[in-house]
Amino acid sequence: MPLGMAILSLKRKWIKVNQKLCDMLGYTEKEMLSMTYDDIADPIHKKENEETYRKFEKRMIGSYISERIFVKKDKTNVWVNITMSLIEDNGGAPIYYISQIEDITEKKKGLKELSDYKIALDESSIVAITDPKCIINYVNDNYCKIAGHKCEDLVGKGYSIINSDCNPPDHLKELLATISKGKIWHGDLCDIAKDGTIYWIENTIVPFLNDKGKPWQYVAIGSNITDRINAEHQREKMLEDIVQRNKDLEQFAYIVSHNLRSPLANIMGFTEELKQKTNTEEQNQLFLDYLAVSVNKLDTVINDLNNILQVKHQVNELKETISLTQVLQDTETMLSNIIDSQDIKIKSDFSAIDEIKTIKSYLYSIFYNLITNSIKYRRSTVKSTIHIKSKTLPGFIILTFKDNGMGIDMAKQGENLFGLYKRFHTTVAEGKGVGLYITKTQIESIGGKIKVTSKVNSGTEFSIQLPL
Amino acid sequence: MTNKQRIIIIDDDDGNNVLSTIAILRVYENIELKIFTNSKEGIEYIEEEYEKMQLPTMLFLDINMPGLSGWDILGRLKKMKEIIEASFNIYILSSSVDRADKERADSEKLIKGYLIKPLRNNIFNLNKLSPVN
Repeated sequence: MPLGMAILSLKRKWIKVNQKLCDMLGYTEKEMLSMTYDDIADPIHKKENEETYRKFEKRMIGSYISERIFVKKDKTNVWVNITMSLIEDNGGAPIYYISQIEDITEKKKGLKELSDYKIALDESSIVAITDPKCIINYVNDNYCKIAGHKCEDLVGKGYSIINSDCNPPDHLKELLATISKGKIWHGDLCDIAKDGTIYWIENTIVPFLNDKGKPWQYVAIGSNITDRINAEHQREKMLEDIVQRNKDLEQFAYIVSHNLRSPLANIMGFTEELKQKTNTEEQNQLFLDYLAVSVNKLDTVINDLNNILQVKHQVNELKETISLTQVLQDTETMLSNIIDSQDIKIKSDFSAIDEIKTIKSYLYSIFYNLITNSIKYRRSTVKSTIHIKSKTLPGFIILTFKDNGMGIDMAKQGENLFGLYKRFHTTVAEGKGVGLYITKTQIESIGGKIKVTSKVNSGTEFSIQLPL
Repeated sequence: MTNKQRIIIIDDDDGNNVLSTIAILRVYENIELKIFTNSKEGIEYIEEEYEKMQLPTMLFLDINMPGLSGWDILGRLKKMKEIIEASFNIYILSSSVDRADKERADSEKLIKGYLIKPLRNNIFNLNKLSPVN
């Protein structure tokens, strides 16, 4: 591209100009030669220009490059990149300036547009730029604000989303696989702010590719969707709660019509039989005995129901720090009769963690129910052993109760295992089908989970996860 | 009577079985009454016995039992459908007043009726004992 060329006098009058410069500014050569540099230069740079002249005159500099605005004949502006050099004679005295002038108006416009895009992007979005190894090179103010970090603390660090464990690993794997192939990735990502709160960003990650088509940087542009995600989670939770309530109600209806009405039906029947005038003394006594059994059964069912309904209201009870060793000791004392007479061996290992902050009565009830369960369903052919162990996971404690008893056919009975009044072993008379139901309800009401693995004639293992 | 007739009760509730027996003996004479409080033993008896010899039989089946429930038993009986259709009148005898239980019983072809415990005057609602002829 031909450049504008000119020679200027020491007073900066145009002495010689080429056609390119005349075309650039819209003047004829004659018009140009009647003017000075300052006649054409926009006064916006007047101060800097005068400073430059001063430096030239004092011979502090010999040449100078700057970007300046020139005013064309039609009064429109043109951005130029101008190089001015002072030319000396043989004796070293300055004689004139020679200058090269390049029209950079289009380039300036492009750069301005780019910087406007950047302003718009920074204003609207959360932006992070990383190198191919996901080390952050740039983050904008929105990013730093939501992350709760100072921007300068983030630059040079790994892109934190990659490290935050609130994203499923498969999701991240897919992300990295996509962008490392040079493809754009869209999706939701969560991250943890400095203060520990979790936030969600809907992201578009664009790889910038080099000549070989390999990414040299990744630009992540996102918007904060935390409110939306939280609302969705809340909705899901509410729905889950409603479904659970409905299941509870259905189960309650089942209990009322089977377990409550069953002793009642007997009471009705035996009362009718007792009214028969032809009964013998022995018959009447038999009917009365059965009547008493049924009345007691009714009372038991009502007590069970009461216990179950109480669990759902007791969650407000204060949490306290409890030693697992102590709980086990107390439970063993409570059950010492059967443990001694049946020679049950209980082995425990609470070396990983012995203390937990939770609702005391629940923890006692969980130990009592699971140990009683193992004792009830022991196998007579082997020496009964129960192993109880604790371990920790981040934020959780895991308690396992493992026995070598009858076991349960998981394929057949697994889903009913924690159901109310579900009994599996017809040979064991004491089983009422309440203990495991209460245990599960208690664990869930303090934010925990219970899982079971079992094999018939081999044993059962309950694994409980409780929040620390 | 040419054939002996049989009534089988499968119900884990001893007290109720006493009441059912009294009600049955009031109405039927000269029958063979078999009571199973263990549902598994009940179905195994039927499966083995009726392979050999079939008697007109009335079966009173409870729903809510440990181990095999009444519905589990019904599932086993369906596997010997021809024998059951030829020889059995099956009645559900349950304490449940839940409409869902009755509807389920009504939808089962092998079940002739749904009786709410205790068995007493409702025994007169039953079909004739002999299902054939």
